[in-house]
Amino acid sequence: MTRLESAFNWRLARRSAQSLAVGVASLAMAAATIAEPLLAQQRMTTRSEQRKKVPNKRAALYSVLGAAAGGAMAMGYYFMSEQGDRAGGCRPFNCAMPFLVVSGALSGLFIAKEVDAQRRVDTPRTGESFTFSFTEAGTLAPPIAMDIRDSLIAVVSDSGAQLFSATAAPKALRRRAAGLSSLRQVVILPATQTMVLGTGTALWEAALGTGPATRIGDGPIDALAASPVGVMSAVGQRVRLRRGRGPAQRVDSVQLGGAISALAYDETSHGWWVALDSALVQIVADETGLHVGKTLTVPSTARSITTNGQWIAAALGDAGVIAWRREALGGASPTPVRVSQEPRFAYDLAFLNDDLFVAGGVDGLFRLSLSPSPRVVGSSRQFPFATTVKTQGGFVWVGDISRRTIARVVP
Amino acid sequence: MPTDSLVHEGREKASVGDTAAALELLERATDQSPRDPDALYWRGVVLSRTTSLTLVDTPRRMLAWHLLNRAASIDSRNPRYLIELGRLRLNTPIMRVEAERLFRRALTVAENNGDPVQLAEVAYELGQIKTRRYLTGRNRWQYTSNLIFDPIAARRRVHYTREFLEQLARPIERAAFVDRSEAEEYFRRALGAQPAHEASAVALMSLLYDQKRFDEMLTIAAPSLQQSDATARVYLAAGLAEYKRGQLDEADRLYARALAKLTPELRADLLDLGRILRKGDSIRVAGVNASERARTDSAFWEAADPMLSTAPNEARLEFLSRMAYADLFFTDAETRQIGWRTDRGLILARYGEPPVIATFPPSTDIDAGDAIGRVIAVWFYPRAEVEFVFFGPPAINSASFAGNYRDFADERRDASPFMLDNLPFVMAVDSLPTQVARFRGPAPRETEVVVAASVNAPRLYRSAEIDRGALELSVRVGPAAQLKLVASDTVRVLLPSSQRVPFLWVDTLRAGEYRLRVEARDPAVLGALGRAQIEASLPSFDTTRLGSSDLLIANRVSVPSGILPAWHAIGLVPRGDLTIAPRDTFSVYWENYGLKPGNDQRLQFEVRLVVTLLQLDRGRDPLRNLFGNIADAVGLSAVGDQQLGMRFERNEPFDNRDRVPQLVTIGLGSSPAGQYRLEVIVTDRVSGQTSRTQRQFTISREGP
Repeated sequence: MTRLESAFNWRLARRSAQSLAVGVASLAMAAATIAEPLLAQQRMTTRSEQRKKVPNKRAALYSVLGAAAGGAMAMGYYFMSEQGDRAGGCRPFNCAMPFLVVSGALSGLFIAKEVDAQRRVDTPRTGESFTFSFTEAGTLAPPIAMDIRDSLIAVVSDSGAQLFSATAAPKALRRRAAGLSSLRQVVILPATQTMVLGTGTALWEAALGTGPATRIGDGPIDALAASPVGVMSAVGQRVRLRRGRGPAQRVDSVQLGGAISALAYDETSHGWWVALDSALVQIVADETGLHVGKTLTVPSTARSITTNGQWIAAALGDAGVIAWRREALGGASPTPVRVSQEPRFAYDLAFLNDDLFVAGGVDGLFRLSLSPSPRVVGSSRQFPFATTVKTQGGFVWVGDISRRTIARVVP
Repeated sequence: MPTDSLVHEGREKASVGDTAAALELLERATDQSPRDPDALYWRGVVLSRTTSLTLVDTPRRMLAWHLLNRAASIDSRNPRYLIELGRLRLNTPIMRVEAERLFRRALTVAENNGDPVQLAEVAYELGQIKTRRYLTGRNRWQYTSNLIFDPIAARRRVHYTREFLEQLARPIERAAFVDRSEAEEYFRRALGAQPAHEASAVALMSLLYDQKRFDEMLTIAAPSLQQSDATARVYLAAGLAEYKRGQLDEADRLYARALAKLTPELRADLLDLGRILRKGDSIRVAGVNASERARTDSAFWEAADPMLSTAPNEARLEFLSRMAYADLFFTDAETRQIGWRTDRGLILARYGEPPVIATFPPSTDIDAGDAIGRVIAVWFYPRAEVEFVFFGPPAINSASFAGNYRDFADERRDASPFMLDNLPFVMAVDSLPTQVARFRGPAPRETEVVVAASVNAPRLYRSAEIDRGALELSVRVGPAAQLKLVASDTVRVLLPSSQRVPFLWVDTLRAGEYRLRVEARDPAVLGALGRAQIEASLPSFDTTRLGSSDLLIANRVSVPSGILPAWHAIGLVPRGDLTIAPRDTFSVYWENYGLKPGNDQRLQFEVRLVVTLLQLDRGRDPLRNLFGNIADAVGLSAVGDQQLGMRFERNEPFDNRDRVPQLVTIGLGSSPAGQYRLEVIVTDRVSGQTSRTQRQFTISREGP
C-alpha cells in the first residue's frame, strides 16, 4: 500500500468512525426517549411555562450518553484499527477520544433539545394524554358529517354518501345517492330504512339498500336532525319538520329570528334545539305544529348541539364548549358552564354517559367532564384532524378529515 | 434645541422618507444627550431600518447596534431596544441566529413590563423566526440514495422528476412540525396580548392554512377585519379561507374589499393579466390605455368564467385565491418582498398550488453547482408532467428559478399561460352542442338569431343516483364583457333519461359583434354542467346583392306546397347537436335575400347542395386510424371528396318578398360515420349573382 493510499484509507476510517459514533449516540438517545413516559399536565400552561420545565437533567443525561457513546467508539477504533494506520495521524487518546466524546456530547445535547421540543408539541396543553384503542375504516374523501343508528353508519363527503357497518371492525358497505353535489348533512331513519341527505341545494331521501334518491325539499340545507318520528331540516332562518310518509306526511315549519347553524333532537324532552347566531332555541312539536320554547344565549355561533339526561351542550368553534344543566333551564336566565380554552376550536361534540367528547380539530379528541365543575379530563392526538364525533353503545365514533377515516374508539 | 424636539423632528423627517436629515438631527440629539435612551433608540432604529442583509452595511449596523445596546443598558425595563437589536441581527449576515436569543430576552422583559403592544411585537418576531424555519423545513423530502435532485437533468429527461420522487426520495413525515407549532404559539401569544395585531393574524393564518384549518383562519382574522385600518393582506387571507371553505360569495366580497384597500398601483399589479397571458398578448394588453385595459380584463374573465349562471366567477376567484396564497406565503416584510411578484408567485398564478412540493436540503456536494448551500424546492404538476424548480437560502422566505427554469417557464407560458385544471368544477363542465343561425330581421340592420341547444341529459346525469333532475338552462347575449341573461328555463328530467333535452331561443338583435353563452346545469348534481360560447358577427344584410342566411338543420318535416313561409311557420324544430344517425334524414332551411325578379315578376334561381366528407370516424382502434390517416393522405379514402347532393331549379312568384325561404330534406343513405360539410350554392338566373352558405354536421354511429 502506498503512503497516499494509506492516508486516504485512514481518512475514510476516521470519517466512518465519526459517523458511527454520532449514529450510536443518536440511537442511545432514541432508546431513552421511548422508555420515558409522557408527562401529564392538569393545568393549562403556556408554552413559555412549559419551556421552563424542560428538564435540564435530560439534556445533561443525553450529553453524557452521547459522550459515552463517542468514547466507546474511540476505544473501538483503538482496538480495531491497525497500529500502522494510526502512526501518522490521529491517535486514540489525544485525537479520536476527545473528538468523538465532544461530538457525541453535542449530538446528545441537540437530540435532547429536539426531543423536548417534540414532546412539548405533542403533549396536550391541558388534561391527560389519552391513548385510545380504536379501529377505523377509510372514507372516499374527508368526512363532512356522519350519523349512527344501530349497526349502520352513514358518512357524507365531497365524494358522496357511504354506508359502513358500525361493528368492532367498521367496514365500508356501499355508496349511496351518488352524484349529489355539496353534501353537508346526513341522518339515518331506521323506521323507514332510509337516509336523509342535506345538500347545498336540496333535501334528499334515499333507501338504505338500493334505488335512486328523491328530492323531498328545496333550498340549501343548513342543518339536519332526526327523531324517531320525523326529520327536521333548516333552510336559512326556517326549520321544517317532516313527520310521516306518503299521503300521511305532514310538514310543519317555523321562521326563526336568525340564520340556523345547527339542530339536535333532545331525547329527554322529546323536543328540538336550534342554534341561531347568538342563541339556542328550543322547538316543541305537537299536533298543532311547531312552537318556540326556551331561549339560551350563546356567545358565539354553535356548530353542533348535543344533549343527555342532565345537560344540553354546544360546540362553539373558537369559543369552546358551553353547556346548561337541564334542571337549571326552569330559571329566568340559566347560567351555563363553559370550557373555553381547550380545545382551541370545538367542531362537534357528543355525550357518552356523563362525559362529553369533543372533536377538537388538530388538537384531537377531547374528553370533558362537566360536573362537579367543567374541566378537560384529557385528550388524544391519535386523530390528527377530528371534526365529527358521535357516540353509541359505549363507543365514540370520530371522523378524521386528515386521515380520511372514521374511527371506532374505545373510551 | 432640546433633545426631545430634535428626536421628534428626526422622527418626522424619517416618517416622510428623509432619512439623511433624520439621522443628522438624531445624531445631534445623541451628541447633546448621550445617555438619553429615546435619542439613542431612534437613531439606532433609523440606522437599523436603512440596512439590508449585505456586508456593505456592516459599519452602519455596528453603529446601530452600539446605540441600541447602550439604550438597553440605560433603560433595561423597556423591551423595545432588544426588539430592535433582534431585528438588526436579522439583517446581519451570519448573526441571524443571534436574533432569537435577543427576542427571547425582549419577551421576558415585555412580560414583566406588561405592555401588550410590545409583547405582541416581540411574540410576532419570534413567531416569524419559527415560521421561516418552518417554511424552509415543510414539505421536506429526504434522498434515499446518494443521488441529489438535478434540475438540469429534470429538464433534459422526460419523467425524471416523477421517477426521482417515486424512487430516489421520500417525504419526511411531520417535517418541521415543531417549528410550526412553536410559531403558532408565539402568534397566539401576540394575538392574546393584542387581538387585532394584524401581522400576527396573517402569519398565523398562513400556518393554519397549511393544515387546512380554514374555519380557524376566519376566527383569527375576525378582530383584524373589524379594524377600520385593516390592510388588504388580512382581507386576502380571509378571502382565501372562505374560498377553501366553498363560500364563494363571501370570498368574492372579501377579495373585493382587499382590492379596494390596495393602492391603485398595487391593485393594478395584482390584477395584471399579463402574467397569465402569452407573451405577445401580454405585451398587447400592456400597451392599451386604462379604460381599454379594464374592458379587456372584463372580457377575459367573462370568457374564462366556466359558468356564468353561478354567481361568482370561479376562474377569477381562483386567480385571486392564487394571488392571496402568494401573498400569504411569499410576502416578506423583512426582505420587502411582495408575494405575487416572486418567481413562485408567478408560477402559482398560472398553474395554481402544485399538487406535489418537495424541498430538499442544501447540498454540500461540490458538483451541485449553484445548488450548493441552497434549499431546492421542486413544484411538480403530475397531470401535466411538468415541474418548476426553485433555489433559495435556508431560513429566509425567498427563492428564485433554478438553472434554466426561467426560460422553461417562458416556454411553458406560450403553450399554456393559465390553467384551471386544479378545479374539479371547471374540469366537469361539458361542451354543449349548439346551432346558431342568423336570418335577416324585420329592419335592415337587424338580425334574427336562432340558438338551438341540445343537452345530453343521459351524459350529464350519468353518475347521479337520483330519480329526477332539475335542469337549469340559460342564454346570455351581448358584446364581450357585457353579457346579459336573455332567457332561462328549468326543465324537469326524469331519470334515468335516454333523451336529449332541446332548448331553443330566438330573438332579433341589431347588427354587431356578439358573444352568446348557452349554459345548462343541475346545481344538485355533481358535474351536471354544460356550456357553449359562440362569438357571432351579426351582419347588416345587403338588400342590393344576392345573399343567404345561415343554414338551419332541423328535424325532418315535409315540404309544404306553394310559397314557403318563414321557418317558425312550418313547424321546424332546429337541432342543437347537428349530429344524425346513419341513414337518418333531416331538413335544411335557409333564406335568400336580394333575388331579382324577371320581367314576369317571377324569381328564377338554381340551387346546388354539395356534401363533403371532412373526416371519417374510424372508431377508437389506433391501427385502423393509422392506416385510415395514411389512406386520407394519399387520396385513397373518400375524405375530401365532394359529392353533389342535389341540384334543382326554382321558379317562384316574387310577390315583393324581402326573403325567399327554402327547405330541402336530405338523406345521406349509407354514408359512413364522420364529419361532413353541407354547402348550398344559389345562383340567381336573373342577376347572375351567386351566394354560398355552409354548415358542418356529423353522422354518428351512436346517433344523436
